[in-house]
Amino acid sequence: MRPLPLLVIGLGVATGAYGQAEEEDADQGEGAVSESTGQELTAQQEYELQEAEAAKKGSAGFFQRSADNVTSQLKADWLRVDGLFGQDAISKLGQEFRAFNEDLRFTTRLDLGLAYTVLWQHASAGESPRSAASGDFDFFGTWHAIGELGRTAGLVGFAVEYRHDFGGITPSELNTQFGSLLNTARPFNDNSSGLKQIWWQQHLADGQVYVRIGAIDQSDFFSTNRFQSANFFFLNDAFSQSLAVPFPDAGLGVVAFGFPNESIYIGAGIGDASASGGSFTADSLSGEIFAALEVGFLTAFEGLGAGHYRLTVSHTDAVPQRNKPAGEAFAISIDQELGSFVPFMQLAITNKSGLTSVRNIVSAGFGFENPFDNAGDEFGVAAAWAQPDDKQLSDEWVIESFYRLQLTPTLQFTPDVQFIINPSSGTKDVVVVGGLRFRIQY
Amino acid sequence: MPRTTLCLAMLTAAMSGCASRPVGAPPGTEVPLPWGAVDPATAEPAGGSSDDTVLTLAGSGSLIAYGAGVLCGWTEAGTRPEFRTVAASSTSGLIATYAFLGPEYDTQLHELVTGINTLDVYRQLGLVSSMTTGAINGSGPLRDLVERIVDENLLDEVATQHARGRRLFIGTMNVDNGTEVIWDMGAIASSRRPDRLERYRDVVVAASSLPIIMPPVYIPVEMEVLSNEEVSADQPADGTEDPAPAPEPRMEEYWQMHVDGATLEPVLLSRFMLRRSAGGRLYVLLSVDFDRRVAYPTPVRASVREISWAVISANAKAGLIRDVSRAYVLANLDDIEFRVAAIPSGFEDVPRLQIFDPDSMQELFQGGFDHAAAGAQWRSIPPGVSVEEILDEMRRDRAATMSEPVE
Repeated sequence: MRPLPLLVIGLGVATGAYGQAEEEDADQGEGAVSESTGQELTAQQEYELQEAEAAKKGSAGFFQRSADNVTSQLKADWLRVDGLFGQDAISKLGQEFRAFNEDLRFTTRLDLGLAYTVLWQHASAGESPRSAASGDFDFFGTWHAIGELGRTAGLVGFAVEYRHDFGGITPSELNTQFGSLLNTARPFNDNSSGLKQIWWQQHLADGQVYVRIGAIDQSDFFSTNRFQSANFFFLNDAFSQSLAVPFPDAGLGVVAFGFPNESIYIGAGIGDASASGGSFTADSLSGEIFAALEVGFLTAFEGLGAGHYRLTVSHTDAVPQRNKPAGEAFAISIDQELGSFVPFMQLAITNKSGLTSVRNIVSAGFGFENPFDNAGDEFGVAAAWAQPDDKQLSDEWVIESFYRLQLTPTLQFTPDVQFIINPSSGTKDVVVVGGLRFRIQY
Repeated sequence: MPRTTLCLAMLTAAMSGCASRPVGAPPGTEVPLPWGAVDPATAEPAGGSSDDTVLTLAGSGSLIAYGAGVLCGWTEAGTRPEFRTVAASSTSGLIATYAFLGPEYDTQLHELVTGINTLDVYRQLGLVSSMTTGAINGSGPLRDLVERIVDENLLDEVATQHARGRRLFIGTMNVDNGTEVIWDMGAIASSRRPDRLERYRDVVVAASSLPIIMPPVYIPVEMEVLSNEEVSADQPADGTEDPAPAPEPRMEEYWQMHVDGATLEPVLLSRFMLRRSAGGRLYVLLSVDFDRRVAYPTPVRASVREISWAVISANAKAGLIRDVSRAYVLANLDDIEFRVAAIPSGFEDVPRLQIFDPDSMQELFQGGFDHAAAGAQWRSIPPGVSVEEILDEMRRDRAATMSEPVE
């Protein structure tokens, strides 16, 4: 038997090749920051992996809900990019909040987001005042209560908002100054604050089905497209809403989506047709029902990107207290990636007068991601034709273009211009509405 | 409000539906080993010739790609032996079966370690589920993965090799009594029990379940207990007492909580695995990055998360160095040549332990493959040990021997 060097037991000081880097690391000195991160997944990594997994599975992963959806906003926040000025002072504050949020997420499974958006708009014609501004503070989040994320998870979600004016009219009122059928920025008003959403979302069947129940916004789910958000993309109703579909305000309801395979999904929702923004209670269930059914087709063309094709039908009961009749709406919404160029089209029609202010609408346009190599930037141009429900009014056209500049990881600045052509009840042939939007999100 | 009450009741029901642990043995009960586990004190040693080679695989998380790369590169070099015994702990248990079955499974081995991402292994658990399962993440995806790679055919292959006298061992830790459990995977595969496949998969999943990060695996064990029924109340009227009827034995099933055996023994090696292999060789293949002094951000923030990781990482590394040294000692005791390989110093882009990224795992695999194909990976001294110190100790030992009086 060979001599046994007992010394080896318990030796903790390493030398030679294996230990060389230990000494180098030790030399980093106080305050040295390693690039390595923790061993468990960070929220950003988790969202990135979900994206990668979705891409690997095929087109199903590209299923998109509205960018205003709570989970979509959280995802966007964790996957944010550097922007033009990179990690500036605001972003450092954001990084602190992010580190806090990461710890909070780890220890409590709370995933929180904050955003403040302010919009100023000015119209070239119409009655005074022709300038309008308002702000919208959003606080939203989810709490992952049970199950495995993406497979069997049960989440609680909420969204609280505070909308305010700056002393004058708000952008949501600007269209009335020049007689436009289409609102130039509907969400920017001062008449809806408080708890907007609170719901339970349950993933079932290994993530192939999910159900959301509670106080929800049906328009987050049906007849959407990737540009349908006045916080991130186009401002005009014609593009930021599915206007001819008589969606109720956020209220009690349930939606369920199932993915039988990677290329198709079926979604259904039922909600309170009489819901009034932010004032839902259990007693607000008046018996009038809004129901929607959507079939979506998801494609992924090699070398092009994801496509999302949706057919939506909806029904709403009559809501006597608002003089709304019962009726149906039908909508088609398409967006298709062609590399960074993403065209979209939407068509919506109703079969009853009085359901919404717009009887039929067709919109089309495109978005162009990152045109000047600044990640997070987005350029968009779109045009729409809208037929008023009131036959006394004339058809209206709108052309809108915006450029969203990602200044920092948390700050976006968006100049926007709208050409309202032949405002339905206005006197001018064309009214130009310029807008500036700032958004900070943590 | 009735609706609110209903919602709360539904929420409570959903939460209470989360699993809590199945029945464990009462405190103080001496629970036998589950079937398939071996007692190192009485286990029959494998092998019996000087050509025997023993391979023990250590290392966990995504770093197992290195070990897989070494095995495949070793095949490429044409010098990979047929191991008489293969032992593994932690996530290395995932690749142990392929390593045991030999080069014919190199393709599957490569695909396994380079074709998975983190979400294929674990997923974050909700807070309530986390509290009731005792883990941060759920291991549903890992179980799905193991079910895909371990099937009846694979078990038959393992059983065939077991019949040839070869042995495959995987280690877990029985959390209930804080002991290591060594599983004879060949014996499990060779069993005619209907639950052999389930037991095999359970062990592989348990071995990969780093405690707290992943939920434990519950393994049933049957044991005979004496009935504790009360003596009949019908006592004789004269006050005499009949002797109490002897308690009747009955079978009870208890569940043991098992996690990654590397928690106790990062390098699975018991002396019975080496006992008959004198003159043979022990290979310790460490999918471990000894270069990385810390595997967490420094300076450490004052957060539960980061302090936990700092302490766990430091402990794991210390345990690993201790175990490799122990393997070195055991090999010397039984006159077996010792060889060890680990991720080489200066290897760049080593992925983080619990992050399974196919691209970086492919790089790590390729690194291991290249080193092994070039025949450059093995050392005869454990990492963490100075050659000079060993030589000094040997000189002192020799000097002491020479100074002893000759009888």
